[in-house]
Amino acid sequence: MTVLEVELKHRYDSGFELDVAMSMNAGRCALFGPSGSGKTSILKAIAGLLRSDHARIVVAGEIVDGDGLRRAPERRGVGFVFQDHLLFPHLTVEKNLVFGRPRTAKMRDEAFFRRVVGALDLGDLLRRRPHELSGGQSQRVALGRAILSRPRILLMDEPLASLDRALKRRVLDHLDRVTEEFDIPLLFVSHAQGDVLRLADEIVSLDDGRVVGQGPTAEVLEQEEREGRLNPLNLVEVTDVIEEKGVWRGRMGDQWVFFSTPPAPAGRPTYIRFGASDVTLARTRPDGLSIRNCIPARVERIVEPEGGGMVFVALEAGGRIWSEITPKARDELGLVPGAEVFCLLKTAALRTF
Amino acid sequence: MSAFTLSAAEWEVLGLSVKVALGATLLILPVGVFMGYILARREFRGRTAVEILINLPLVMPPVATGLLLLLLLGRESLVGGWLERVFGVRFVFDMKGAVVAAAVVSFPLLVKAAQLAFSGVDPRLEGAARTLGAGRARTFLAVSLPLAWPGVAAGIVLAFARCLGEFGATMVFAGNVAGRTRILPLAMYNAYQSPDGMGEATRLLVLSVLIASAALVAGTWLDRRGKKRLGRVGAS
Repeated sequence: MTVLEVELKHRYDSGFELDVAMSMNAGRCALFGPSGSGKTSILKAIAGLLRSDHARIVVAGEIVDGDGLRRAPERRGVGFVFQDHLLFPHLTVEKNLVFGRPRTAKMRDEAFFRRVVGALDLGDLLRRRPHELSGGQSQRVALGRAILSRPRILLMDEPLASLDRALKRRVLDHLDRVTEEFDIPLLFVSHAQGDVLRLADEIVSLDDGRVVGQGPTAEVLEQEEREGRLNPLNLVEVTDVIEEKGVWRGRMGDQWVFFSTPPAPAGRPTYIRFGASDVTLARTRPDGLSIRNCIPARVERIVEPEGGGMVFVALEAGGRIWSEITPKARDELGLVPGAEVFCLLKTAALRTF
Repeated sequence: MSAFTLSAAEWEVLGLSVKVALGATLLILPVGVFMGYILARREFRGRTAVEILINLPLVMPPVATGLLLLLLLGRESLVGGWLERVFGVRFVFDMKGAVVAAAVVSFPLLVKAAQLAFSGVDPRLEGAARTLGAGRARTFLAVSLPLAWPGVAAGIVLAFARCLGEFGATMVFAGNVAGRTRILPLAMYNAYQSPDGMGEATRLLVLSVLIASAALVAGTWLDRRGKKRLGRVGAS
């Protein structure tokens, strides 16, 4: 089912023009693009916080903007988690959380409240005031507050920007949990390829106020990679993680991969992230190398960005791996689709996400 | 009459002053706070005219304000005459007149303070409240007002104090009638004008200082308590 349809035209005083048409079908969709491409404006327009020149916005099959109708923000069923969270400073965490709670069905709400508090680990924070919270805590409160208002869709502005690695993992973990447990479609804004790859099922890619691509995450990113707007990034999921002498190893397909940073807590998926330039290719299994990871793989296809330069090799190795090599290396190794190679990866270059 | 007890006449002046000031403050409170909010948040046609109109009594000589009120609401005037004929409401030589005079001169102080206070509230918090399902009224009562409250409370105290200090407009519009419109400053002036009245004027002066101090203390209390009390409104 289509979760959200948006048609939006707006001309700002600065001359910047927003002209987008997009739809969202999957559970988690990213508005992806560089800063200044109009991502946040789209969220605001969906929530009813931006009056645009022309809009047609359909949320869960219901028109909230368009056809001469413009619903007030409070009547759209759209939850919004702002980048700086915007908790009400004069209210405790608990009162922030219940601010948007529907007034009816109190009995059912109590159980729902406890579930949200549990899923977001907010139990110890309820009596605190917003100024006593860390950035991560305050984001969780904002997320809980939005979910408790029972929205039909949840909008998040840059939920993963400016977080350190450990915190980002916890946020991703919480986002996984709430979108699964409460079954709320999530539309989030991000400018970071890795975040989008990790979190989004679907992407709407924006540039300078226009949609330049939309569809399933992998497809859209690949198209951008092909068109040279983006360099491929590797993100693979590993399972059965064990610690071994200060490093970790996990299973990717039928291969073991060694990596250098701690995995996700038990029960949560662990992702490893590395650049395409971190991947060295060899035609034969090399000997006497310090590199721990030597993964057999098959070349799927070779992408040459428009305008030349480095080429990207897509490899199937129990998961998709991209390698960035020179055209000369490709020729010398005789790389063509179907060729068998070994991917060499330094343990230190592989970090969990 | 000892130095520490008030005479009946002094009690009367004190009671009347407080009644007039309270009445005037309560009269302008809802409109003034709302006006301050509108001016802090909205751009509209005729905004400048509205602002000038509100602030006029602040910059005009109070006597001129009194005269203007007399022309608008006096017994001979169109509106004043009509009010008296239809409702039997009379302002001149009546406590109601003193209340109206005090209200008009203190109104701009309340609006200004409220406007400043609401300007200091991040409008995006109001947007956040709306996305959480709160309508305009609830957003105002549960978010904007509590957050602006310290500034609004300061404005209320300021307006109340200005009412207590009212002299010129009241004198011209409502008159100087003992027990009806003779509030503290008028009584002080009367005493000072009468032969051997300096002692009485000084007693009233001390009284005036005491009331002003009490208003300031009350203002601080209002600020602290109100912040807490209104904070709870948001959770209901």
